[in-house]
Amino acid sequence: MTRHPADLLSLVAGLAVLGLGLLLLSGGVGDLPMEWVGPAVAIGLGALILFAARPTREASDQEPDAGNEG
Amino acid sequence: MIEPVTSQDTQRTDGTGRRLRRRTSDRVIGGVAGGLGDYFNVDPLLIRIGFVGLMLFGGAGLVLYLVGWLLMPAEGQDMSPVEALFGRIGLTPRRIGWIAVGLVAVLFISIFPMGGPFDGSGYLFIGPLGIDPVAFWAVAGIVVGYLLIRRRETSPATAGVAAAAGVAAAAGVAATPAAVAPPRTPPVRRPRSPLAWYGYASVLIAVGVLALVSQVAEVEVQPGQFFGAALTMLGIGLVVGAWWGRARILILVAILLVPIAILSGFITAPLEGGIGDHRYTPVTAAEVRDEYRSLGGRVILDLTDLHTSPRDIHIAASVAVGQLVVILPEGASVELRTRVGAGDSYVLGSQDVGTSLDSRYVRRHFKQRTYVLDLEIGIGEVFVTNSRVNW
Repeated sequence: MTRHPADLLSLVAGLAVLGLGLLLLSGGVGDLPMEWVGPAVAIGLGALILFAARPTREASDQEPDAGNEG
Repeated sequence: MIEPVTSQDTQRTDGTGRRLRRRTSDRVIGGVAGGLGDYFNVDPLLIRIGFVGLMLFGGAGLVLYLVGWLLMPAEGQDMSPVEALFGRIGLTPRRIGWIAVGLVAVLFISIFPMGGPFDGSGYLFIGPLGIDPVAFWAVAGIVVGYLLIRRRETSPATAGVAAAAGVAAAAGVAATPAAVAPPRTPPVRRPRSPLAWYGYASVLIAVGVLALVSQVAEVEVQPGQFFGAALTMLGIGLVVGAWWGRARILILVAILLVPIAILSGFITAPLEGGIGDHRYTPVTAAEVRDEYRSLGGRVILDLTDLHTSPRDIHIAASVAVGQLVVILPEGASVELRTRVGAGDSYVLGSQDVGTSLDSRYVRRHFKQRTYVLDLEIGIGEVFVTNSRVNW
């Protein structure tokens, strides 16, 4: 495996999954205020998707070509 | 020799845009999500997440994926599996379009007499306007069919060039240089990273070790904790993948696991007993068990036929996922505790809905036998009632 520039999507998703995993391992999920968890998860996922869907530098470089293609 | 132009290349150069195609490499299943990602210039992972998310709604994601696979040509091919099939049986796109319009029009006409689009329940309401979903999809089908026909009919240049190229190819004559597309460069694919496989392996090892430890040390491990171990490993894999290797597919796996993991976190009831629906109707005190356990399903404990006994009745009952129903004699002396991980609790007329519910109910009559009940549900409903009706 080679090192590459930081992939923020993987990092953010990984930290979120890691946090939830540790919470479940500790058995503390029952203490979560569920009325806040749903909205928080929805907002977090939405932000993650927005972040992941942003145009990358490579895509921006290729934009003129894409425009020519119609 | 210059290669004759193909219809695909023509589309790339005449301004009609890229073609939507399934990936044949660097794909997870059929290349549909990869192809859509390439076409819309978004990360295929997002498309996959969308398919998986739709899977939770009655399997719509699977149906859409299959439809996509059938309708999208693979890379390097001009026809989708459906087009190839229709071509073999002599159905041209134009004919198919007209057939679709006809069928949908018949459907639309046939459902309309059942009621206008502004009355009746089950209609899609957008503000004050109600729209019959069937009518909506019928109209949408007609429009799509019409556009399909129109698209095929209004692209004579494409068809003409493609036909000319075909003739030229058949005659062994090179097409004019002006019509020749630049050589296509194959898409650059990143080398596959083994990190995702390391992630899967670590999940299995972590869950296995946790199960072994629980056996050896006789520590009770809840289902949610197994999922927690799995998610922890996936999270570590993703964090590593932020700098080394690539393992974004683990996000998809995690999204699949998270709902189940969170639900399982509420299952604190003992994982004992079988699966299925059971009804117990003890008549004598000797027939009453101390414990009734079930992993999943419905357990009905009917105590209304129980003959009088001088001693109190102590019962512990649990269902990990499902329903637990206890039917008590009218006016019985009871002392009960109910615990619900996530779901509903209906106890002698009082209702509670939520997570981590823990309630106690005491109604004692002196000089009367008391039912001492400890009832537990992981995910589901617990009912304590005096009536056999509905059970």
